[in-house]
Amino acid sequence: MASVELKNVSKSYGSLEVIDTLNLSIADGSFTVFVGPSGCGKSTLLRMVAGLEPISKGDVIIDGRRVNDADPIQRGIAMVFQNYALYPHMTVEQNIGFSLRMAKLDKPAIAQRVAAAAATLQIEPLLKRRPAQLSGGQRQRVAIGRAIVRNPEVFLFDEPLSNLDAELRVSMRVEIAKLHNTLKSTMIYVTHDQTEAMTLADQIVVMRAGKIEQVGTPDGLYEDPQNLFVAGFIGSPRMNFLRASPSNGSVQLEAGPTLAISGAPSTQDMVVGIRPEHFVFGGDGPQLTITADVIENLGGTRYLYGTTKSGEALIVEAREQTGITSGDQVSVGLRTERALFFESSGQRLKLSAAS
Amino acid sequence: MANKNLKAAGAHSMAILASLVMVIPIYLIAVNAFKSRAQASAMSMELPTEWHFENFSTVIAQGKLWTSFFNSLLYATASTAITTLVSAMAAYVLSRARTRGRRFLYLFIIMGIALPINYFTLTSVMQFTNLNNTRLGIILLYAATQIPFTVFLIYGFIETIPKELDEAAIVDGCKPLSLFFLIILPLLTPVLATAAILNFLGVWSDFIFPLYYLNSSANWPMTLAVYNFFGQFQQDWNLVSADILLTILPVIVVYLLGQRFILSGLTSGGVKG
Amino acid sequence: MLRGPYPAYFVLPALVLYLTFFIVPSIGGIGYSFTDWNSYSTEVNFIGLDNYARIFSPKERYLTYLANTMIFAVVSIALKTVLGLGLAVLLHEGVKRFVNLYRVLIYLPVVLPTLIVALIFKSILNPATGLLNSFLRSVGLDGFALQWLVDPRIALFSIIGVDTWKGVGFITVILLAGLQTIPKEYYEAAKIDGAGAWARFRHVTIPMLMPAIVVVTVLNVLHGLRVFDIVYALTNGGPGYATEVIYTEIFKAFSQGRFGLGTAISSVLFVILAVAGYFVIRLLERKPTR
Ligand SMILES: Nc1ncnc2c1ncn2[C@@H]1O[C@H](COP(=O)(O)OP(=O)(O)OP(=O)(O)O)[C@@H](O)[C@H]1O
Ligand SMILES: [Mg+2]
Repeated sequence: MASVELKNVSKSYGSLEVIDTLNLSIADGSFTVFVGPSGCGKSTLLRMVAGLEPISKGDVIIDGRRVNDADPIQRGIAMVFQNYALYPHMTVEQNIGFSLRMAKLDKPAIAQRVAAAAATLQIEPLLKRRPAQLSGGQRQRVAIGRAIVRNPEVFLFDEPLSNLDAELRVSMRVEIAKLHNTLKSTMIYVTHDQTEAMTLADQIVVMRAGKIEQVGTPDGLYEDPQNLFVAGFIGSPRMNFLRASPSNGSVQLEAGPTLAISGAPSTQDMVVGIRPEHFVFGGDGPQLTITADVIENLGGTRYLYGTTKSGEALIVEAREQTGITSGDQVSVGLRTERALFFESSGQRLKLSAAS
Repeated sequence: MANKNLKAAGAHSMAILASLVMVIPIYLIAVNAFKSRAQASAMSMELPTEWHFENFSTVIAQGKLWTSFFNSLLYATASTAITTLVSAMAAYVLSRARTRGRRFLYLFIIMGIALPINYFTLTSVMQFTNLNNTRLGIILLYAATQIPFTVFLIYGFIETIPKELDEAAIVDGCKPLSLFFLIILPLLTPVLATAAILNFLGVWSDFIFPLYYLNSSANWPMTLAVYNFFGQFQQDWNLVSADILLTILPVIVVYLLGQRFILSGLTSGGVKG
Repeated sequence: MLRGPYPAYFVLPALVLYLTFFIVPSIGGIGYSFTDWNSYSTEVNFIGLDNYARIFSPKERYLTYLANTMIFAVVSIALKTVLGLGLAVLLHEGVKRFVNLYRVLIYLPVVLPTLIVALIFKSILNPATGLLNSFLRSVGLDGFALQWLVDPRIALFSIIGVDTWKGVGFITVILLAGLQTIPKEYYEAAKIDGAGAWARFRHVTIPMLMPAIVVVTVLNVLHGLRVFDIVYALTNGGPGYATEVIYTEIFKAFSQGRFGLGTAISSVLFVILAVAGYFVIRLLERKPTR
C-alpha cells in the first residue's frame, strides 16, 4: 500500500499541453476516481502514474519515492485496461502468472499465487482456457486477476467496465468495491460514468482540459460544487441551470419567480442551479410554470422534461405525479434551500436563499 | 433451370481447362522421368511403355543431387530464418514508434522492393567481406534481398496487434527483448508463416545469385545443378525430367502444405491494396 | 516506456544487411559507371559519360535491349492482367464448387523455379517434337505450328507466353481475393437500378477492383523490367539479339568483364526503378479504403 503524490505535473505532446501543472495527493488505501469529459486527460494522467507515459514536468511520488524515471514494474503498480489486453496466445493461468514469471518466481510459487487470485475472483474453472474462449465479463475478471496476483501497492483502472453491458457493469462495480474493501490497496480509477464515480470513490477528481476542477468526496461534490462545470457533471440527471439577475436582496429568475437571498451578489447576470430532485409539487415555495414535453417513466420514479416560459429546458423528478401528459402546463415548486448560485462566468457564489 | 446448369457446366469446363494448362507441363515431366531415353526424346504425354525407375538413381549419382539438395535446403532455411527474424524485429519497432526518422527508415527499407541489384559492385562487396564463393555469402545475400518485402508484409500485420498488449506486458515487467520474444513474436505467427514460406520458395527457386557468386559446383543449389546437368545431358530428356522432378518436388510439397498461408498473407491488406 | 520499449537497435541487423548488400553496391555503382573498370586491367580510369554515351547511342544495340525489356514488361502485364481478371471472375462467379482446388492449381506455376519452367518449355516449344506443335498438328492447325523460340520475329513473344503461364496465377489469386471482398449489396443495388451483367461488371466490379489491379500491375512492372532467368534459360538473348533484355546483357557484361559499362546499365535501371519504386511505395502505403 502506498500514497500517491502528483506535484506540478505537466504533459505535452509537442506544443499541445494535455496535462497542465497539476497537483493532487492520493491517500494510502483510498479509492480515487478521475472523471471528466472525453479527451480531458484522465487516461494520460493515469498512464503517467503507471509509467507508460513520460512526464514532461513535475514529479510523481509513490510511497514517498520520486518515480519519474522508474519503470512501471519498479513503481509497484498494476493496471487494468479498458479492452482487457489479455495475451491471446496464453491461457488464463499463464496470463495471470505472467508478471510473476517475469519476476523470476519459481513454478510452485507462481501456481500457488495464481490459484489464490483465481479463488478470489471465482475463475478457477477458466484457468485452462484462452481469452478468446471467455465472455466479456470473464475476461474482465482475468484482467483484474492479473493485477491482484502481484499484490501491487497501487491499482490503476482505465475505464475497466465500459465494454460490458449495463447489468454486468453494475455487478462488476460491486465486486470492485468489495475487492477494495478486502485488499485495502490504493486504487485509482478512470471513468466517464458518474454513477461509477459516485458509488466507488472515497475521493473524486473532476477534470477538464488537463486541469483539476475540484477534488472531494462524492457527497461533497454533490452538495457543494465549486463551479458550474462540476455542478453539471456530478448528479444524474444533471442539474438544471436557469438564467437570473440579482436585485436588492433577491434573485429574479427569467423563468418567473423571485428568490429571496441573504447576501448581495456583485454581478449583473447569474445562474441558479437546482437539481431535478429538488422540486416539490404543491407547497408554498416559489412556483415555476413549465410546459411538459416528455415524461420518462422509469418505474420507480419518473422525470418530466419541460420548457419554462423563458424557453429554458428543465428536468424535474416527479415521483408521485402520474397524471401528467405531454403538452400539459404544470406548476412546480422550488426547494429554495437547495438552490445554488453561480456567476455567469461559472464561479460559485456563496449565497443562500433566505427562508 | 437448364440454362443455369448449362452455364455452370460451361464455367467448370473453362476452369478445368485452365487448371489442365497449368498442370500438363508438370505431368509431362513426371511421365517422361520414367521413360527410356528413346521414348523420352519425343517428350510426349503418353505413359511409359516400361517404367525406368533407375533414372532417378542415375540422376542422383550423375547430378550430385544430394549435395545440391542439401545446399538448397541450407540456403533456403538459413536465409529464411535470418530474414524473417531480423525483418520482424525491424518492422516491429518501426511500426510501433512512428517518429519521422523511423517513418523515413521504413520507406527507405521497403524501397528495396523496387530497386535492382548492381551485381558488379556487389562482387566487390563480396570480395571485400571475403564472402565470394562461400555458402555464408549466399545465405546473407538472400537474407538481405528478401528483407524489404518481408518488412513490408510484417509491418502491416503488426498494426493489427493492439498496443495495449505491449503496455500490459510492460506493466507486467517485460523488458524490450522479453516483450518482443514472449508477447509479439508468438502473435505474429500467421504472418511469419507466410513470410517464411514465400522466402523459402523464393530462395529454393532462385539461381541468379549462385550463377554470379558461386563458382564451385560443390556449393551449387539444385536449380543451378539442374541447369548444368541439362547442359551435359540435353539429349537425355528422361534424365533431365527425373532431375527436374526431384528439384520441384520439395517446392510442390511446401506449396501444398503452405498455400493457405501464402494466400492469407498476400491478400490480407498488404499486396491487395 | 521511459527507456523506450521499442529501441532502435532492433532495426540494426536488418539495416546492416540491407545497406551492405543492397544500397552500398547500388550507390557505389553510380560512381563506377563513370569509369572503364574491367576484369583484364587493375587500373580503373575515369572516363566521364562515355559509358552512358554508348548506352544511348543509336549505333549500339543497348537501346534495342531496353526496348525488348519494355515490350516484354508491357505485353506480359497486359496479357496476365486480362487473363487473370478473366480467371478470377470465372472462379468467383462462374463456378460454385471446387474454387479452392482450381485456385491451388492455377497458382502452382507461380511457385515453380523459373529456370525449371524454362527448361520444361524448351521441350514443349521444340518446333519438331514439342508438345505444343504436336498438339496443333493433331488438331489440324499445322499453320499455327510455328518456330517458337527459333524465329527471331516471334521468339520474344514466345517467352512472354511462358512468363504469362507462370505468372497469371498470382494475379488471379489476388484479384479473386479482391472480388470476394466486394460487398454483395453493391451488386444488388445495381440490379435494382436496372444494370445488366456487363454494366455491373463495368460499373461495380472494375472500379471496386481498381486498387488491387493497380498494385499487381505495378508489382509486375518491377518484375518485368528485371526479367532475367526466363530469357537466359530459354534463348539466352537469341536468336541473334532478338530477345536480349537488360539483365541478360548485364550478365554478359559481367561474364566478359566489362564492369564499367555494366554498372552504367545497372545505374540506368536503378534510376528507372527508383522512380517506379517511389510510386510503388505511394501505392502500398495508401490505406485500403474498404
Ligand atoms: N500520443 C498522443 N499524441 C498527441 N496527443 C495525444 C496523444 N495521446 C493523447 N493525446 C491527446 O491528449 C488528450 C487527452 O487524452 P486522454 O486519452 O488522456 O483523454 P481521456 O480523458 O482519457 O479521454 P477518454 O475519456 O475519451 O478516454 C486528448 O486531447 C488527446 O487527443
Ligand atoms: Mg481514456
